[in-house]
Amino acid sequence: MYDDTHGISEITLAISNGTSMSLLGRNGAGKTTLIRTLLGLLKPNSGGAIIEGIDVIADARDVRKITGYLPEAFGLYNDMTVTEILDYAAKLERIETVERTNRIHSLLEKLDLTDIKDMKAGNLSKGLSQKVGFARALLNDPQVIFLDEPTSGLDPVAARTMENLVTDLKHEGKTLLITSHILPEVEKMCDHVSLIKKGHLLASGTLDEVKSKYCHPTVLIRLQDQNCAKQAAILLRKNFNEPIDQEDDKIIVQTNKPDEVTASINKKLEDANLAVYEIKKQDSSLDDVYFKAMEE
Amino acid sequence: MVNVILEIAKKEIKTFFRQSRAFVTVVLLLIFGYISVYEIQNVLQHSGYTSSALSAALGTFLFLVAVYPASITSGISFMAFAVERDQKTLEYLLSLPPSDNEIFLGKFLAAVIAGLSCLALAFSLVIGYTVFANAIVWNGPLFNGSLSLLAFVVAPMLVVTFALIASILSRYLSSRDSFVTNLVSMAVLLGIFALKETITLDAFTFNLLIGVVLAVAIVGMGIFGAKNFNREKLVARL
Repeated sequence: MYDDTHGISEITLAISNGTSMSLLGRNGAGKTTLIRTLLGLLKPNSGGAIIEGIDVIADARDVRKITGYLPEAFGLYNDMTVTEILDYAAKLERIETVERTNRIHSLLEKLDLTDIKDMKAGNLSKGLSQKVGFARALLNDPQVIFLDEPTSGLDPVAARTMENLVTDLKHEGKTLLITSHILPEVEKMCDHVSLIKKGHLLASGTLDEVKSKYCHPTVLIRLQDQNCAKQAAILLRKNFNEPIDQEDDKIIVQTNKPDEVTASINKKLEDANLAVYEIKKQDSSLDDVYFKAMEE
Repeated sequence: MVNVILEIAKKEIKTFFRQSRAFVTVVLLLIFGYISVYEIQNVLQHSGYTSSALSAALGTFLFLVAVYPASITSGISFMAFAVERDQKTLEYLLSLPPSDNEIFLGKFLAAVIAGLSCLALAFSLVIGYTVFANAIVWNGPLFNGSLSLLAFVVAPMLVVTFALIASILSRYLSSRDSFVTNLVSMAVLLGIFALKETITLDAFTFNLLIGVVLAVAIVGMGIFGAKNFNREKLVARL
């Protein structure tokens, strides 16, 4: 879609209405370029995109009317108050006077910004600035919202607030496309992920689909001691096809059917009189998936 | 469309006058205004306090007075994109529905409105003070062809030209470079002022010539500015 040195290529993505998708990838992978292309700010050399039935290339202006955007490195007009900033943005969105006032008022309340509405943007903390930027992105009540690193540089409390706001939008049925490097947050905020590396799409789908592409869930079994674990490993390798690792008093079994395998293993070890101290299913984290995908 | 253009223009003007840079322009107004009034007084002392002598003096020194509005104009025009880029507000602005033309015209209009208002104010102050501080003998019209051409055509065209130059340059330069455009605009005006004093052309022909040059420059830069403005280029530079 874009040039060789700085862009994206052969990315095919479909995001259903009301879903929240996270774009994951290293710095320079093309995440921001993809968002800018979807907003019609960059024109691709080839290819295209449709948002809510609107062609991004041909009708970029119409796309911008139904989308909201919080850029990664964004600033506010430091000499203007929070209300002035929102009012100016709403005027450029062509929101009528009465609706504009109501919308600003409700966003200030929703984002807990009422107390600072008359403060100059230059005096705001990073967390508050981020909230104002977020409010600005929601002024036109967009159906599709692009958030580029919404929690970047925020302290844990501000990040949690932002995370809750995103979750609220998700519950309101908005379609969200979010980039972030904070993977546990992504797991909480998004139900879909896309992995991008050097402008190419590696994988895309629900969290479980993407996880299963790179990592399998595991079953962890802890036995009485290292000796018992060795015996158990030999027994299990004879009876199961799944990869089995043994380390100290633990055995780790990689499997696509953790529930089924857990029950079978438990039974086999009981039959062999090997005391199982602990047996539990472990899901792979997005961290594991991310590192595995980026290593390939 | 007009509302959006006016909103952008209003915001740009407000922002400019909230900056410390506005203070510098006020100081410039006082300096150039004082120099002009002082020089006009000198001319009148030698030539007599007549409307024809005042007209000739104004024809010379109004060029100097125009430095102030030109400085304001290029200052505001430069904010168009350079300051937005520096304070990281440009990407959000470009992600909004207004068209390329609305954004460009809004910013350009701000510079032109502010520049022309300051021009009118500066001319009114210098002319008003000189007329009312002296017992002028009205031996003819003050605004003859040459002075009218300068005050109502050439000077406003200078403001528009500087607005165009600075708004085009602001796409490529950072706001730290804005002082360069201010210096260049002042140097150009002072150069024209010096040229006017050295060449033998009569004032009307000289002003007409400058007017034609400016008209060509405005049309040329207008076409260049409109053709070269697009979001993609601005976003690519972020």
